Amino acid sequence: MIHISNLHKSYETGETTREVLTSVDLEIEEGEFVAIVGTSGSGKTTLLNIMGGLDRDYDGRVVVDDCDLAEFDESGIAELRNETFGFVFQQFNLLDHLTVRENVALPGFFTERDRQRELPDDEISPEELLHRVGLGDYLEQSPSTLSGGERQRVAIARALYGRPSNLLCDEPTGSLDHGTGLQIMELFQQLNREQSITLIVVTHEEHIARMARRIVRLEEGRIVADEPNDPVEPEASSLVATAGDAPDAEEETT
Amino acid sequence: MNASKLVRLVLQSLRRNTRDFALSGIGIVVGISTLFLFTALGSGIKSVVLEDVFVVDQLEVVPQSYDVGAFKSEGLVGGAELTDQTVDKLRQIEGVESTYPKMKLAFPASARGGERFVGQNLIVELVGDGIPPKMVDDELEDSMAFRDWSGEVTCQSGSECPAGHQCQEGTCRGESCDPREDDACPDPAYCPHDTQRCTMPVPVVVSPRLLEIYNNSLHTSLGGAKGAISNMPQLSEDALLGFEVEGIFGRSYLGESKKGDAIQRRLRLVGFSERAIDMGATMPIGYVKRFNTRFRGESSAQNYHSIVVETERNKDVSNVAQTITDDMGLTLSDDYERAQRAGLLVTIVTLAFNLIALIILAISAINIMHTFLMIILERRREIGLMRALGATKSDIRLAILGESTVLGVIGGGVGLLVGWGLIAMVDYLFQTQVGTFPFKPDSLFAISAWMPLAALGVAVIFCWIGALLPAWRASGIDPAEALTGPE
Ligand SMILES: Nc1ncnc2c1ncn2[C@@H]1O[C@H](COP(=O)(O)OP(=O)(O)OP(=O)(O)O)[C@@H](O)[C@H]1O
Ligand SMILES: [Mg+2]
Repeated sequence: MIHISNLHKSYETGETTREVLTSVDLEIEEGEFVAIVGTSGSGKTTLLNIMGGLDRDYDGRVVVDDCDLAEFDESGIAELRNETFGFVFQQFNLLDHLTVRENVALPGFFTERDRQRELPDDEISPEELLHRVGLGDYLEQSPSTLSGGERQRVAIARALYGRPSNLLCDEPTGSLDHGTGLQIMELFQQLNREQSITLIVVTHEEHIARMARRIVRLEEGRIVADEPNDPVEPEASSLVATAGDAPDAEEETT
Repeated sequence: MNASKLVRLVLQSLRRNTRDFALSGIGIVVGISTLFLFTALGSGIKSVVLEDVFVVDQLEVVPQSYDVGAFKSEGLVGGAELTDQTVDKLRQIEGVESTYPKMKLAFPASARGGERFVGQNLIVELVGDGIPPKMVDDELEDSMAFRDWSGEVTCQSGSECPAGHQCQEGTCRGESCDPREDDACPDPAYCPHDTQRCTMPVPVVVSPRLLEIYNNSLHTSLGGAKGAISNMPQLSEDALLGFEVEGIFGRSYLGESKKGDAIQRRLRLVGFSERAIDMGATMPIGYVKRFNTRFRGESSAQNYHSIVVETERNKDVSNVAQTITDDMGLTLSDDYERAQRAGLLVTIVTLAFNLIALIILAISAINIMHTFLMIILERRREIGLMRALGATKSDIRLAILGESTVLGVIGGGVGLLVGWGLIAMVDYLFQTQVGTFPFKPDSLFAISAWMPLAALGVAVIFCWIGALLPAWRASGIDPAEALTGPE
C-alpha cells in the first residue's frame, strides 16, 4: 500500500529551480497493477524513485504500509528497499562478473533478518525464482551471454528475491523489442494475478500501459488522468514456455 | 551485513579489476619487502654488535662519577658507594642471574721478579684488583687453582688442604716454618718472614690482552733497550702458567702506605681471563679485602670499585640497566654506554631505511586510492544498484575496505615472500663473495616472529589508508542518480 499526498519535487540547476512534480496525490492499494505513463521528462522516474525510497529529497507525504518514509533512518530505509520493494530497470543493471544465479541472490547480502531461521517456508531460492521466469537452464552463465528479454527476466527474478510485496519497474520494456516487451508484461500480469504482488510499471509506450489494470497519466509533473483499464490478457500459460527459447539478438540496445 | 556475508560479497567483487589491483598492489609488495628486509637486517646487525662486538650480557656498576674540570672524581660529591648492601639489592632485581663485586688494591704495591725470563729481577708497580673466584671458574683449566687460600678454607681431613697445611677444627691452617730454611714448606707453599707459617702463593689471573700487548708491541720496542731487558723472549700462555713473582704490599716506587709495614707475598699466575683487569693482576677478592684493611683501613675494604651484574637472558639487559640507573640511582660503566650508542646507531640507520620503505608504502597508498577512485567511478551504477537492493552506506564502505584488506593481505604476503627471497640471496652472496672478518656472522639478518605479522599489518593499514576516501565517496553515491543516469 502506497499513499502519496501533496508531493512536490524540484531540482535546482545552477540558479534556477525547476519543479518536476507538482501536487501529486496517488493511492495504490495492495495487489494493484498500475501503469504510469507520460512523455519523456514528465517526472515518471522521479515519482517512482520517491515511492521506492531511493530519492528522499521531496516535500509532501509518502506512506508505505502505514509508515511515513520521512520517519525512516538510513538503515530503516535500506531494510524497506530490501524487503518491501523489488526494482526493475530499463538497463537491467545486472553484474556481468557474476553468474545469473549470483545476480538473483544479490539482495540476500543486504538482508538483516536471517531468512533461513525466521521464515523457513517462505524461502524461495534463486534457482526456483529463475525457474519461474523460465531461465532454469541458465543458472551458471554470465548475464552478458543472454538476450535482452532473458536479462530482464533475470532482473525480475532478482527483484522477486526476498518476496517483496511491490515491484517498481522503470521502463522494463524500454530496451526490448515489441514482442519481448509484451512477454515481460505477460509475466508481470501472471505475478500480479497468482501472487498478488503490487505492480507499478512506468512506461511511455501505450501498448505496454494497456496491459495494466489502472493507468495513471503524468504531464509536466502533474497527474492529468487516473483511470482503470481492462487489460488485454493473452493465454497466460504460453509465456513461460516460449520465454526461454527465444534468443532475440536485435534487442541488444545497451 | 554480517561478517560471512561481507567476506563473500568482497570475494565476489574482487573477481573483477584483478589487473588493476595487481598493478596497484606492486607498490605494497615493494614496500613490504623493503620494510621486512631492512627490519631483519637492522635486527641482525644489532645482535652482532651487541652480542659479539660489544658484549652486553653483563653490566658493570661503578660509583657515580662527576666531571670536575679535567678531573674525574669518583664518589667525592656524595655519589653512592658500592657496598655489600648494594650487591644484595642488585641481586634482587628481576632478571639478574649473578653479581660479582670487584675491588682494587687501595694502597701502593709493587712486584719483583722475572729472573727466569730476563736473567735479572725487575721491579714494577703492581696494579691489582680482586674478584670472586666463581667469576672465572669456567675459564680456567684448573678452577681450584684460583682460590682464597688465606681465607677460611674448610676441611674435614688434612688431605683436603693444600701443601704445608693441616686441617684444624674444620679449617686449613699453615704449618709453622722457618723462613731461613730452604724448602721450609712443600711446593708450591712457601714460608713468609712475617707469619712464619706455610702459605700458598696468591693466585693471580691476567688479561690475555696484556700478553698480546707485550708480544706485539712491548717486546719489539724493548728489543732496542739497553741491557738485559732487550733479551726478553716472546711469551705464550702456557709458558707463563705457574710463573711466580714477589709482591711487595704497602710499598712501591711511588710511595709507601700510611698504615702498616710493607709485607712480601708470593704471587702465582694460574691463568688468563677476559675478566681480569686490563693492566695488572687479578686475585681472589678475599686477599684484596684483607690487604686493604691492613694498609688502608677497615672502610676501604667495604667499598667495591665496581659490581659486575650478569643477567639471565640477553634481552633482560636493558631492563636491568634501566632499573640500576633510574630506580637505584647507580651508574653503569662506559662500556655499556658505548654498546648502547652503537646499538642506537644501528637502530637509527635501520629506521632511516624503514622510512624509505614507509615512503614507498605511502606512495602506493596514494596509488591504491587512485585505483579505488577509478574503480568506484566504474562501479557507480553497481553501487547504486546495491543501495537499491538494500545495502546501507556502511555496507558499501565495509565492502570497499574489505577489498582493500584482501589487497593488503595478498600484497603483504607476496612482499614477505619477495623479502625472504632477497634475504636468502643477500646472505648467500655475503657468505660466498665476502671474505672473512672478525665477528663475521652466519647471517646478516635476524627474523623474529613478529616481523612478518607486523609487515602484514602495515600492508593492510596502508591499503586501508588508500581506500578510506574512496570508500567514503562510494557510500555517498546517490542511488536514484546513479541508477537513472546514463550508463
Ligand atoms: N538529477 C537531476 N537534476 C536535475 N534535473 C533532473 C534530475 N533528474 C531528473 N531531472 C529532470 O526532472 C525531469 C523529470 O525527469 P524524469 O527522469 O523523472 O522524467 P521521465 O518521465 O522519467 O522521463 P523519461 O521518459 O525520459 O525517462 C526532467 O526534466 C529531468 O530533466
Ligand atoms: Mg524515466
